[in-house]
Amino acid sequence: MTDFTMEKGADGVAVITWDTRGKSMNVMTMEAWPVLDGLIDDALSDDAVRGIVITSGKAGSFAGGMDLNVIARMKEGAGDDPARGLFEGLMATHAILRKIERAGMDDRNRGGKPIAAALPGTALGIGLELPLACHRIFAADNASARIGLPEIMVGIFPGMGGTTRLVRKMGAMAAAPLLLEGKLSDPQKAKSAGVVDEVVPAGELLDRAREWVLSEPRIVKPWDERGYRMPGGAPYHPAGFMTFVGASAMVQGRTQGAFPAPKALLSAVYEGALVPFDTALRIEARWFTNILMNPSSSAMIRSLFISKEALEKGANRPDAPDQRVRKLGVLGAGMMGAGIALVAAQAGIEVVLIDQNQEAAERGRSHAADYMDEGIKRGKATEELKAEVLGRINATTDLAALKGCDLIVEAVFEDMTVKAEATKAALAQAGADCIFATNTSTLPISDLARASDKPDQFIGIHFFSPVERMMLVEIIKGRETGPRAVAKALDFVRQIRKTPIVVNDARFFYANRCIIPISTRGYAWWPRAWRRR
Amino acid sequence: MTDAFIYDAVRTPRGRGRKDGALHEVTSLALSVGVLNALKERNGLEGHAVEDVIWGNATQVGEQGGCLARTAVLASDLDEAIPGLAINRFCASGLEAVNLAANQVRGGAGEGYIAGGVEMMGRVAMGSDGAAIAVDPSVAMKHYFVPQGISADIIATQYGFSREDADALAVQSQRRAAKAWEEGRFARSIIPVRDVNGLVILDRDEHMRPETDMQSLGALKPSFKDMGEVMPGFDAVAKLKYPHLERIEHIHHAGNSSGIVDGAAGVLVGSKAFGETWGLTPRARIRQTARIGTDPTIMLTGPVPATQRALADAGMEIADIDLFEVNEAFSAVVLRFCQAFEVDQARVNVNGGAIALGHPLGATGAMILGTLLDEMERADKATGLATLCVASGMGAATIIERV
Repeated sequence: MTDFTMEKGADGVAVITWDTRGKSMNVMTMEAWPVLDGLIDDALSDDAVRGIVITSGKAGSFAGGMDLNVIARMKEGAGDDPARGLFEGLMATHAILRKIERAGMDDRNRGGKPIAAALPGTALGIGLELPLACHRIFAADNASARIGLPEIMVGIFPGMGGTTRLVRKMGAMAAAPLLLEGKLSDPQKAKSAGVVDEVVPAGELLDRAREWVLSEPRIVKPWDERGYRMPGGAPYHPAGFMTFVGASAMVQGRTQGAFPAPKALLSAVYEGALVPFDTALRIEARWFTNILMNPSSSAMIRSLFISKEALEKGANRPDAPDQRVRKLGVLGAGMMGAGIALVAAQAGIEVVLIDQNQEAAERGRSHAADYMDEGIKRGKATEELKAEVLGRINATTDLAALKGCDLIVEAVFEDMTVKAEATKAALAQAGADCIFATNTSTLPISDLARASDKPDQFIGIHFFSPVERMMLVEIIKGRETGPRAVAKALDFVRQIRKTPIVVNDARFFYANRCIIPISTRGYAWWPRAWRRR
Repeated sequence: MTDAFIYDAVRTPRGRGRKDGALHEVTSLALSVGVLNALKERNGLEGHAVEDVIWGNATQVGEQGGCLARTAVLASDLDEAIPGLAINRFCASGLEAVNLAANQVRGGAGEGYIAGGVEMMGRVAMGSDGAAIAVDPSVAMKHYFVPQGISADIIATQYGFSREDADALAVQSQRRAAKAWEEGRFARSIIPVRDVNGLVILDRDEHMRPETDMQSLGALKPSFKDMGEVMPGFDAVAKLKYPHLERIEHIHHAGNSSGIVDGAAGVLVGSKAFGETWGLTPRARIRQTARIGTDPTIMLTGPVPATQRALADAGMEIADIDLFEVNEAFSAVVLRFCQAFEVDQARVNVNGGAIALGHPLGATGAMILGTLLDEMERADKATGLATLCVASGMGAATIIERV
C-alpha cells in the first residue's frame, strides 16, 4: 500500500488517489514523491489513458501540506554538502511537478494529456502546490475547507513551485496576501481570487473533473505560451515597479525586518519575475534552500508548529483524570482578571468574577461586554452570543459565590500580603478539591503557596496582557505543586485554546526571564548608539 | 599639476516638465545639441578642439539612452573625432561631468573638455530606467530603501526643520529667482531654445511662480505623508533605520521641493594652454572636487560631507567661501547645509534655486555651477562652492575661484 494509487477507467481517465497511510489528512513525504512520479509516467505513456485526475482518498480534504517534521529534518538528511543536497532534492521535486504541468507536450506545445486536480476540501502547502502544477483545479463546494499556502507562518515559504506559479497565475500584488501572510480562503473565495478554477458540488467533483479532462481542453499554461506577460506587471514594468517597491517596504515594516523567510520569498518572486519559468523555479529552489539552511526556519517550525501543536494537545500533562474546568473563580476584576473572565466565559465556562466593591466587579464584566460589542461591529459575534457570554460571568463581591468552583485564579495586586489574604479568604469558601492558581508575573509561587494549607493544589497560571489576544500562558510549578494541579491548569488552557508552557518556579519564570534582559540591554545600548550617529 | 579652468558656461531655460511645457516638443538630443553648438560657436572652437564631451543624465533610457553623449556629438557641429561619454551620478551628473573633465585636464589627459548634462523630465519619466535599489528586495531591505521625499522628511525630522522653515525657504527661492530675471543676472549663460528654422521656442525659465507666498504654500498637502504612513508605509522602514525618531514629520510638498523641468547645460573646461590655443580668457579655476557616499535611507545629506571633504582637500574653511549653490532638491537639504556649517542664507542660492527654477536632474549640476560663476563675477566675489545631494545616498561638490 502506497500513498498514491492509480485506477485507469474505461473512459480513458486515470484517477490518481492520494491517501497517506495512518493519517486523517494527507501529508507529503519524501517516500511518496517517486510513487507519484511513477504513476504519472505510467499514465502519460499509456496510449489508453486520455487524461488524469488527481484527487484525495480522505473525505473532506485534499492535503494538509508537506510533513513539517520532514522539512525540519531535511537539512540533516541532505548529506555532507547539505545546501547542494537540498537544492538537488528540490530540483527533483520541481522536475516531477513540471512533468505534470507539461504532461507530455512537445516544445511547441503540441500533444500532452490534460491533468485536473479534484480537491474534496482543505488543500494547504504542497496540497495546493501540486494542484497549481495541474491544468485545472476543481474544488468541492465545501465551506469548511481551507485553501492556501501557510508556509510563511512557520518560517519558510512555498518552495515547491507555489511561489513561482501563484505569482505568474495571479500577479505579484494579488498573490501577496497568500504568499506573505499565508492567507487561507474557503473554495468560493479561492475561486474569486483566482487560486482555484472551478467550485462544484461535492458529489459531482470527480465527474466534473473527468468531464473536463475528456473535453480536449487547451492545457498550455499561460507562462508556457509565447508572449506571456505577468499580470499586474513585472518589476520593471511601470505598474509592477510600484508593487515591488511597496512589497519590500510593507514586509519590512510589518516584520521589523526580523524574519528571513519573507525576504527570501520576495527575492524569489523578484528574481523569478525577470526570467523564463524554468529558470524562475531554479531561483525559487535556491532561495528555498537558503531558508532551509537558515537555523531560524527549523527553529520556527519546531516552536510554532511541532512543539506548539504538541503542547496544545496536552504534552507535559501528568497522568490525571479529566480536569476540565466547569466553574472558575477569578479574584480581582482589573485588567487581567477581566480578561481571564472573558476568555473563560467565551469557552463556555461559568465564571465568578470577584472584586472588593460591586462597581469594580461590574467594570470587569463590562470589559467582556465591550469586547463582544466590538466583535458584533466587525461581524464576528452576535447579540445572542454576547448575551450568552455575559450570562456566564457573575460579577460580585460575595466570596460565598466561589462555592463549587473547581479552579480559582487570583489576579489581585502584586503584593505578597494582599495576595495571601485574598488566597485565604477565597479558599475558606472553596471546596476541598479546588485548585488555586495565581496570575503573578514575578512573585515566587512557592512563597505564595504558603497562604494555602494544600500547597499541592496551588499553582501559577501566568497570562499576558491583553489576555484576549496573547496566546501564551505560563504554567508555573511551585516546589510542592502536585500533578492534578498541573493537569487542571493544562486542561483549562486547552479549554480557552491558548498555548501552555510548563515551567519551574525560577525568578521571572520563562517569558519575563527572556524579555527583561533584552529590554535592559536595549536601554543600556541605546545612548551609545545615539552618540555614534 | 596643470590647473583646470572654466572658459564658458551656458544653459537652456528650464521648461515645465509636462506635456504642456514649452520644451516638451524638443528632443533630448536636440536640446543637448543646442548646448554643444552654442559652446562651439561662442568660443570659436574648430575640429578636434576638445578631448571629449562628458554628458550627465540620470534617466538613460529611450531617447536619453544609448550613450546620448556620443549621439549628441555626432548630431552637433562638433568633429566626429570627439567621442562622448555618458555618465550618471543621478542629480549631480552635470557637476560630476565637470569634475571629471577638470580632473582629466589636471592629470594631463587632454587640454579641453565639454562637460554638462541634460534631462527632459517631461519626455523621459524619472525612474523609467528602473532601479534595483528600489525593487530588488535583497538590497532594498538590507539598506532600508525609502523614496527621496521620505528621506527629505527624515532630514527635517532629524534636524528639526518645520513646515514653516521649509515654506519660507521656498518663498525666498521664488523671490530671488524673479529678481535675478528682472535684473538680467542669467543673461550671460542663457541660450534660447530654437526650432529647426531658428524660431525661439523658449528663452525664459518657465517653472517660476513669483507670486508664491506663505499662505499659498500653506494650502498644499504634504506629498509623502500617505506613502509614509499608509500605503505602503515607508515611515516604518525609516524608523527601523532611525529608531530614535518617534514619527516622521512630513513637511515637504510640491511647493517646497524642486520643480520637474526640462533643460540642458554645458561648461567648457580646459587648461591654460587650451585658452591660449583658442584665444580664450579663463573665468575661474576649478580648485577642488569631491564626491562621497552616505547613508542611503536619509539619502540626501551628502552636501555636508562632500563639502567638508572638498574644503579639507583644498586646505580651506567654510568661511573662505564667498557664495554657495546648494541644490534645492528639497528645502530640508538646504536648511541642513546652512545649519551644519552655520552659513547665513544670504550667501546661499542668492539667485534662487531649483524650487523656483526647477531641477532637470542630469543638467542641474552644470547649471548651478554656471549660475555660481555668473554671480561671483557680478558681485565680485572670489570663491564659490556648488554642491548637490544625490539619490541612493551620495553627494558631490566643486570649489571654484576667480582668476
